[in-house]
Amino acid sequence: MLDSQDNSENERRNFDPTIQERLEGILSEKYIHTPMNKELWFLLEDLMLQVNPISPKPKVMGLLITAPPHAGKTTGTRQFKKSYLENVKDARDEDIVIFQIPSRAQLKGVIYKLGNQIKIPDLPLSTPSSYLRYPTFVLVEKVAKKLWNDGTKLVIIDEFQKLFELSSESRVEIISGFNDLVNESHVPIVLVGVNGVEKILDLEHYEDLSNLKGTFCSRFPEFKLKPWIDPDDIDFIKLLHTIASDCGLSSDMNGEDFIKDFKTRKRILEMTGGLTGKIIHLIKWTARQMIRSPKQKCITSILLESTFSQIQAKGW
Amino acid sequence: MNITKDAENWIISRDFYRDVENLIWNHCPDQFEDESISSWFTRTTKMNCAGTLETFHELMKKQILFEHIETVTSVKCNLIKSLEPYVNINRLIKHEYNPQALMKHFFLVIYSTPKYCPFCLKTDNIPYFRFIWQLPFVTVCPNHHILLLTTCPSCQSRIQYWRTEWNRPIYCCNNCQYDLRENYVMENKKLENTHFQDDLVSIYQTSSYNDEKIDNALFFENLYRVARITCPDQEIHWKRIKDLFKIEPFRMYLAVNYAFQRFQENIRIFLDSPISYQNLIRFCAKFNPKPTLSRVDRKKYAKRSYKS
Repeated sequence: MLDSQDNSENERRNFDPTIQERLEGILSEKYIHTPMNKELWFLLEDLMLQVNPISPKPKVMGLLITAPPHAGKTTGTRQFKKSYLENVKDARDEDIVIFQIPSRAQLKGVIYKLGNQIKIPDLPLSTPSSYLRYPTFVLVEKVAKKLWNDGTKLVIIDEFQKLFELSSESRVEIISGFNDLVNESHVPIVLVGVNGVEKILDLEHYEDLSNLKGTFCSRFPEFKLKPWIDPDDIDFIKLLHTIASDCGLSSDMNGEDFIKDFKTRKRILEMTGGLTGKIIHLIKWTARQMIRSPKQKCITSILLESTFSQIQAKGW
Repeated sequence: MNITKDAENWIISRDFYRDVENLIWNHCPDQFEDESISSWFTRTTKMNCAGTLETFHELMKKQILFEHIETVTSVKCNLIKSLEPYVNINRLIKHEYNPQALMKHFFLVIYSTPKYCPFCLKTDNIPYFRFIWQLPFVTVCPNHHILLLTTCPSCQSRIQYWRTEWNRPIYCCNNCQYDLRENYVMENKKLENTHFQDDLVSIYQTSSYNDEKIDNALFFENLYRVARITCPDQEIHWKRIKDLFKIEPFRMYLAVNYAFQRFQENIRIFLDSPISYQNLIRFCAKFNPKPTLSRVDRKKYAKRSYKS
């Protein structure tokens, strides 16, 4: 009898439009403007101020953003472009170029793809023969001139860690290629990746005769998007509070108890490694569990653990 | 933008930045009223940091001579069609994308080698090549009354602005990078020659002569024959060209150009007498009874015309 009641309840909950609506809201992708992201945006904004069309600055500073995966590097930079386009008068799409390094490409391939993305007409991806048309240094020159002509203020190069797939020579070549691009275009470049330049240039059998590492480190200071460490950090508590409110856990389900509990907060940090993307993912899937199983009235450490094992099984 | 803002909470955004699929090139200048489409295309590709010929071949997908843009109507039409996804086609002047109007740019009357006036290039805010400079009967600049140049004053190579490097301006010699605007020593031509030239340009543009509607192609084809016949030192000149340059096609164009210059000096005979368009045709038929030539079959024309 009890089983049939349970079944009928479950059946009623299937395809319930109100639940679907709530789940859509909870499971949708989110970007939270944390103080760390705020600081990053200020830095990016300052970099853009370096571009002066009347008198180009001879030495333009770039930035290297590093953080582990799921820390929100890519989202943070892409949302910066979105916010720029929405809030700055006369902003144009070409003001900020976001480019992803292709897998296993050499310097020529990287620059060629960048040239194609910024719409240099004779660099099509559809015609392989055109790849051999220009030597690499001409491609760098073309891309640099096009960036300057377009009035580009910032180039964001994502997936910088893909350089680890390459041989030592190729890595050095690409890094010095980016150096040349900054020098010739006078446009700041932001590199986004999981590791710092020390590791990328930490190569065997490589003598840094031209002091590339030193030049690169001074030209591209590193900004680390740090993971959350302290469970008592007021900003971390605010983050949890923000996610919980967004998932609708505060009003009707009294689900915020987990925020007040030190052990739960600590466990969340352990499970997610303190990475913002993972924290959001964990809590929104826990909220989903609560909606799907009516017995759960609030977020408990047991529920968090079971959600965590489910996420681990399917991957972050 | 869906943003939830609370006194205690931080900003949450569910709208993400999306890359917009937009093929339109970042730079697309307006075509000047009297600018040739090849000049406009060259300027556009240069502004986008691309090689002109490379871009042309990418767009056309097969090997076609760039020079044919102006001389073969179908090439021009195909180019404009293939440019549609990449440029705002309204930037082109109207007659360039009107197929009916395009017919007036028929073969025979346009040189693939452009002439130029250094003064015009010098005084332009944005230097460009005029369409009428490619007409064989236009040998004098209408504004400055000086002889138009066909070659670079420095290296004597013919002008092909579309062959200049992607990062060089359009007014540079494609061979020696000489600035074509720098030549000021020029021969002044008589004003009456310019008047005659203006008449021909007017006939070319309006397809009418003495308020009489005429077939432009036939008219200029015959005029061309007259020019060859009436050129006084034609034989000597042609022989010299053959000896010196082994009959390269572009040198032939120079020869025709030269013939037209001579013709300009003698044409008053025709204009002062009550010669009509029909008389001109009869005149040509008498001296040079060749069949009417195809507008598109360039090779046949070349063989027939330059054999002698």
